[in-house]
Amino acid sequence: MYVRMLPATAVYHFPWEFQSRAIAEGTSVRTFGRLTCYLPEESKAFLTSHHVSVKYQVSVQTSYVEPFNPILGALYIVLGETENTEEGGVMLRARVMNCVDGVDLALLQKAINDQRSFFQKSA
Amino acid sequence: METEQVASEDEPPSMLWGLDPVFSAFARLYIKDILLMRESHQVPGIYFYKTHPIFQVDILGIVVFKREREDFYSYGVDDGTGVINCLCWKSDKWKEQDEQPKGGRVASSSSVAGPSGGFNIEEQLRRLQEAQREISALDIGDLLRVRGSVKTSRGQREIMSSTFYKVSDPVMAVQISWMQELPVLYRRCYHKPFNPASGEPGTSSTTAAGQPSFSPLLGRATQTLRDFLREKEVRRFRPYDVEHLLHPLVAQLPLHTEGEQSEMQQASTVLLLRKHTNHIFSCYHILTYTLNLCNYLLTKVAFHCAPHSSVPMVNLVTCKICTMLFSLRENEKLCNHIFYKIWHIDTQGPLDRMKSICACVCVCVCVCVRVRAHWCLYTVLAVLALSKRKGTCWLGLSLKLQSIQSTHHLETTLEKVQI
Repeated sequence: MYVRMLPATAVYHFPWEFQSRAIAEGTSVRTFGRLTCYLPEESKAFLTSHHVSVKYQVSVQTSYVEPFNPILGALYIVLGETENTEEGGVMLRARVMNCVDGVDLALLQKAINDQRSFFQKSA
Repeated sequence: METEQVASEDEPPSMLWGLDPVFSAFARLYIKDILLMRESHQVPGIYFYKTHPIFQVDILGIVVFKREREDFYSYGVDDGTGVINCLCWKSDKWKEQDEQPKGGRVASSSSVAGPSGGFNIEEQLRRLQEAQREISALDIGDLLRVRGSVKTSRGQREIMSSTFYKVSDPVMAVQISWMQELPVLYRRCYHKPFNPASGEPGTSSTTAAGQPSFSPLLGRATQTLRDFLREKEVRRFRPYDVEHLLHPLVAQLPLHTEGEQSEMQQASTVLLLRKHTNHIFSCYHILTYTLNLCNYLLTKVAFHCAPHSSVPMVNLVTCKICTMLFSLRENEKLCNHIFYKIWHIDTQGPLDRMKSICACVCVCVCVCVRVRAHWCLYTVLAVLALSKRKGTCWLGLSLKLQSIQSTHHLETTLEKVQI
């Protein structure tokens, strides 16, 4: 039996949307952030971003995408599934992690928002 | 019986599908929509997005799944709205390359290091092939662009690719522009109803953006042609065969600019006619983005050629380019054909420079639409040989052109060519 193993769609989420566990565990998401810390022994990375002068941090489990070249301070795009941690936070188990340093963040945010509003309107 | 009735209610009859410009284009749809499109009741393998018949699509997304088979790769592509399976065939050239011994490469790489003035076509071809091979091998996390036809196999939608390549997008410029472009395309084309029953089928979406003054005329041209075809029971025809039917309409065509108008007076009526009938046909066949590209090319060519040659020639050349471009979408190998056409327009005046420019434009375009790179190379070589220009820089340029993906790059390249 030929079974297709396509993963679920990773929809864009802003880093500041992960905080309150509003997203169900196991949801596929894609998000972005600046790599501020990488702990290879724990396969853990932290992506930070700022939104309305508040700093947000997303922790990422990187064991699936290793080895990768961690550039501290560079922007990354992550695709993966959310997992709730024991400490009460949300962690992202990354399937894809691409360095996109130099991306026009404002434009990306605008594009994401445009796409969302387009879907809302046509729905 | 009942289902057939339903079909005839939601779907326009298949005979009229060709009148919808979306039908013959690669529709850039969200993957979500491709997955949800319903299959036609009349013809399996054709799908309907709203009222538009669709069978080929154009998508861009991140590879999230990969499986290798003997003849093809199966990639799962995620564009943020859905995930779809794409079957990407391994090309024969790709396989041949693998079998080549390594010794050959070492030998040829030494010839690259030779005098910079020398040009080794085999070496350049090999490089092109290598570049081509690189962009057709993808891994999870890479950005993939696929054009192909939609299929449903074992209950799953998938895309049978006709063209695919890895997109180098280090700062997400391509992805962002894609995300911003799609809503516009949807609003302008895919959401506009296709209503073949009304007087101007499908024209609203094509011409509304480009040339508003053109649409009523186009509607009449369509009507004329349709009447003719129905009356004579014609099944197949070339645009040339029915050209004369449109002659009366040409007189009513609005001319675009005053400058052009004065130039037009000098031009012979035949040329005028050609230009406009071609125009009519082209408008008929294309979607907004192709139209924009062609308009852009037209102005470019006209701008560069004007000081060097006679006006009618320029017009003729441009309209040739335009018409050829449309067929190009259908068949990539027509690249050479285009060049051939341009070359034979000729006969008056010193046209070397113009021809070279035209060919160069063609090459650029071909690269934009991802024609096989070596076809482009041949074209450039031919131009160089015939125009007797010292063209090593051109050559280098044309090789670099493989990476061109936007009209912006095209513009800068053209400027360089001018030097």
